[in-house]
Amino acid sequence: MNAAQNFVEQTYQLSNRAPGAARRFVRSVFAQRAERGAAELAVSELITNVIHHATSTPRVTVRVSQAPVIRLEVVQHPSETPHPATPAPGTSRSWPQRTELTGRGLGIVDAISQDWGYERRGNDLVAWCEIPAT
Amino acid sequence: MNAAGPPLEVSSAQDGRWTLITVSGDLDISTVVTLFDAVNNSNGDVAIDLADLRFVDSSGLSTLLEIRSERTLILVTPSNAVIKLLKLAQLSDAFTVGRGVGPPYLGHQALSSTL
Repeated sequence: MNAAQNFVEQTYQLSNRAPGAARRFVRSVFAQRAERGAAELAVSELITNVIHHATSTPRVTVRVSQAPVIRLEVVQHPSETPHPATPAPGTSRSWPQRTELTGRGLGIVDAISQDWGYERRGNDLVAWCEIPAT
Repeated sequence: MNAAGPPLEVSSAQDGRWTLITVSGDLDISTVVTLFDAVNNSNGDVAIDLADLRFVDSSGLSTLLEIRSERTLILVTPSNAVIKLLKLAQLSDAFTVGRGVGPPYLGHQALSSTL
């Protein structure tokens, strides 16, 4: 990662509400930029993917940088003692569980991004993507 | 909920064998259940007016696919957010898309041919 990247960040409790909260944050950061929609979609997909898969991640931090490249990071902070994924508030039995949902979400991230991936940072797992400037 | 109001608003109207469900706001993991409940509480064929859907992601897309697998479904006047997501997911041809204002909501031609 380029050391010159200048990040702003917000931390959220991991729940079904985190994607919407993170989108509002990204929307404010990218208020004047054409890439706002793509950035909102990317962060929503990355956090939703954590909700579906993380087993011991009570909190995530969203980090956003606009220059020199548009980079979004979703940092998963593991709890010290692993616990089952937090059932998200508002989830009901009628929520359709589709195993292909997650793959589709990352496929969308792939379609939006010029590059994306995962990396370890200490105990944290970081999902990141870089969005081409338009 | 937040100061800006509910993230997703849903209303339903019956018109013959069709139920027209109008949604506005954000369709994501926290709100898909609202749409799914509206569909489950309706009868017959389903048209979902998406003109005012500001945001939708893969959670919303999966729910639309789920609805399509169970009911006759038409997506009516999808917003740019919907059209972009369908393109990104390479699912532009997966749904019947219409511009009509009343049953069967197709208008003169299916929008899918222009996506």
